[in-house]
Amino acid sequence: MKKGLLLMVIAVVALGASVAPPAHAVVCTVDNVPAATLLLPYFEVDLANPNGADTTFTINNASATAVLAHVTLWTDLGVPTQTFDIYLTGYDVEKVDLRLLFAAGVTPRTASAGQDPAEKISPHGPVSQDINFASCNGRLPLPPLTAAEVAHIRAAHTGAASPTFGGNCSGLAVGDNIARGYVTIDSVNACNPFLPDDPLYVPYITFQNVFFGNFEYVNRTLTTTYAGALVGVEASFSNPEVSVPGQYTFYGRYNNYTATDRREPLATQWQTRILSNAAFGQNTDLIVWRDPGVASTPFACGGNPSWYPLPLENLVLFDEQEFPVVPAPATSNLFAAAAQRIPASSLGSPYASGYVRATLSLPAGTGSVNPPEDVRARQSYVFAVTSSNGKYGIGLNGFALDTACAVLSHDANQPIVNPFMGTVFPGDGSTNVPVSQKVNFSFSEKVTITPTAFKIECPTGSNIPFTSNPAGSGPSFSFQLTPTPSLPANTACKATGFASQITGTSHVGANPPADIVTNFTTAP
Amino acid sequence: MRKIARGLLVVMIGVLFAPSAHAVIGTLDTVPAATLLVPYFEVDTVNANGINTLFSVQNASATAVLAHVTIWTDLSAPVTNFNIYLTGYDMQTIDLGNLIRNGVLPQTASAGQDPGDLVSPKGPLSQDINFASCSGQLPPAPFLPSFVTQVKSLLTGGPDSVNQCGGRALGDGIARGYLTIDTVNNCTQRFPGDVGYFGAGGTGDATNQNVLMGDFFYVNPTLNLVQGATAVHIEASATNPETSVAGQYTFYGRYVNFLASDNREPLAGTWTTQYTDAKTDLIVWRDAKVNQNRFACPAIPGARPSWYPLGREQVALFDMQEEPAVYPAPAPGDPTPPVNLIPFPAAAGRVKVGIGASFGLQALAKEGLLYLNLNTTVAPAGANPPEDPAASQSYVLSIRFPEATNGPDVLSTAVTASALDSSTQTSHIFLPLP
Repeated sequence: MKKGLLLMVIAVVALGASVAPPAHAVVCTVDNVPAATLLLPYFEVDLANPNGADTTFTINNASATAVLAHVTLWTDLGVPTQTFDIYLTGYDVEKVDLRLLFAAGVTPRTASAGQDPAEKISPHGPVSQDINFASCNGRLPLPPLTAAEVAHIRAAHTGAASPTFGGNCSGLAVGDNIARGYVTIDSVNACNPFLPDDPLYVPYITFQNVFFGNFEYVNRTLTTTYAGALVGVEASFSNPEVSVPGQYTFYGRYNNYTATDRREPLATQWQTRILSNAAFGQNTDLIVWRDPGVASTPFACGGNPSWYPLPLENLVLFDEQEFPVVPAPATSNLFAAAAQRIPASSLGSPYASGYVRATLSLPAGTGSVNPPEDVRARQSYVFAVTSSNGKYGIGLNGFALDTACAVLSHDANQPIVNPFMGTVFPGDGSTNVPVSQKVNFSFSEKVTITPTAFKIECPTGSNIPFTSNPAGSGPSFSFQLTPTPSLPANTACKATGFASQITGTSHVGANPPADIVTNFTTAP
Repeated sequence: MRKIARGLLVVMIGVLFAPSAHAVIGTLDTVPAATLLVPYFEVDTVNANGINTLFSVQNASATAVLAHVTIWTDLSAPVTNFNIYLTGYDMQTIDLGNLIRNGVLPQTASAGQDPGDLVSPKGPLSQDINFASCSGQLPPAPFLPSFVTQVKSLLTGGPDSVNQCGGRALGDGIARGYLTIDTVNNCTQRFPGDVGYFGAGGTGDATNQNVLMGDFFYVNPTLNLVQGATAVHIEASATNPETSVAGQYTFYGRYVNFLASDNREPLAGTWTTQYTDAKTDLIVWRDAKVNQNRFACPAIPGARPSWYPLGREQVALFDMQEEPAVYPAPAPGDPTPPVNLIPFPAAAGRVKVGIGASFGLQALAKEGLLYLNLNTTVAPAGANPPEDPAASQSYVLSIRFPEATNGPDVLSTAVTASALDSSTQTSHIFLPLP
């Protein structure tokens, strides 16, 4: 008995030594370290096809201390629908298969010492703490979701009306029977039924930077799988960036930006590659999570939350020769939801491959009043998945170019294509240009033109007739002019695109800053 | 009229010259950086459809930059280096298989070597300037056949032309090693260990421009496998005491006598990640903490190079019920310990995790959690880094095969392990395991 007591004391001392968070918290950067909140930025579960899209994730406890994880499901429009608690002994890991949850209401079975005295549910190892959370009596181990709860999450996450929400909707109705949304996992000090947007949740949230985890998108029908690390959102009780009211914090929208959550925000500006090559069947999809900046609540079906669609500040695509393209006005509906998977091909780029650089804060003039620190700032997360011929999936984090703790000044330090730009081939000063050469004007956005927008002269003052592809006024990213007949040999030629007769469609009504001119000499 | 347009362009580019992101030193974040680390590569030197590695380098800024690529063996000996010119917002993808098997280097050239913009074209937002030092070097010619042979030999553990080795000879014809990519201010041919490559505040060849981004891919057409991950982004700061005060542990400390003149943040020393029996490979990069050059052939654990194999403070495995076990260490004095008792002996390697003696890291359960405290003292490094001689930076990436591990359609993923500390402040966490 005494020996047992001694061992217990040793164990407690040993655990005490390990109770401190296992990693140092560096707030205001998105790094893969243990954190107080994990974000699964997007999930999808095919409700019709068990071999279709599925999402799984794991929650790991990096510390010896037993902890509670509060899991919340959110729709793709940011409405919380369901929450449950997971108890983790020290160094524990729990895997959650969202298909099982959505299809049959299967919840992860865990229980703290008080609900599991025989350790049949949550066993623990000799260096893992196992304690009692009395608040979990009657709540853990979790029962399966009721039929009504399953019906609720299936409806809510497919954009249908839910009786739980009084017949209102809470997500996008895409019509493909795929449940979509995102998940947050918070460290809490007691089992509780509250959603993170509920003021009653505030006393429960803790600042233990102990969670890490991974997620996987698996589609057995398409033979693809993509994986990434859950986004670790660290908490700090002392760092002014996350503890002073008015600062932008991860859950700021639910606590009136009083920073009571103490959690770092993510970033606002991202860059990631796009690989779309038809020859190899390559396609990139962008997984994008965004903060609407306000709490979302259910809405009358057929309508939308007040903030939807969420505009963006700036989006530029580059081809692999660094020519920028602004595919659409900043106020367009690209990445309009809180969580989405968007095929890169739908961004409107004329190029198969390159990269996208997106600033997912708000454009000027939206009337936003929060967060007080920077009313236009909106945190986000970007993850790119690429497959070839529907197989061999690769998942890559986007590159964060700033932090929402200190957003780089809006409209600066990013590629501004305003007014838009044009280029012409053959380039200025070219020599020995074939007489059959076509003249190509390209623009950084789709433009419309007047019938006299372009002119070819060989030599200067002598107009050369041409046909245009596309014919007419556009809109188009480029116009290819074919001289008819061919250009004269050994002649100094000049081609001009007249700025005043070329009008942008992304920067609506704007013209290029200057005429686009090239002087070249044809071959003998 | 064109002058006005050019003027506008210059103004716009000028606005963009500042580094494109804030530098947060002491944590591994995927942000533009002054150095990229591709922690491990494999290239089948015989079979063009065998394992291969591709990597990309991107310039996050509008400013034109030079990137200096160094190829290292898996025992941290430099093999060769070359420069890549990147206009603003430029990107280059490099096929290491084509480079190692055929000597083909990426074709880039700055304005002075490419006045017609035929090699390195640029967009209207991108700076394109002349690096005069690159004349005669860019665009690069392919390696001579004799040099291709030497590179292949060194990366497969064989000798160079003077019978010196640089890596482990595993006998499978796979070239192994790792890559570093640094921002530099000239087309230097120096290695990071050469005098003059680093100078405090970016005054050597290497600069402190946090502008590079990159990723890498392992491709095996024969096995229908592809995995991808972001490169390790290593930020520089000449003002942060962690990366500018002599004695601090910096990424290239071993090449600058730990004077911190490289100004680059170190990585982490302790990692955790999940494993599944026979369905997990660990990619592990480690710091030998000495300036390793070529050595008498062959590499022999316990003999040469002097630091090989690298030790560790603690490797532990948990099963799904959190039952822990310390990974056994070789018996003291055992001259030929079982190989898998030293699971991460080299500077770069791939280790298969599973139950049974055939695995490089023997698992004790079907599934669980790995705890890798890879800090270690290295005798030839002496009391370095002065800040903490027992600290040793590393990087861990987990390759997973969540479904079948055979058949025509193998699913696989790559996920970075979770860092439990930073080598700016090594924790030396020992789990109190029985």
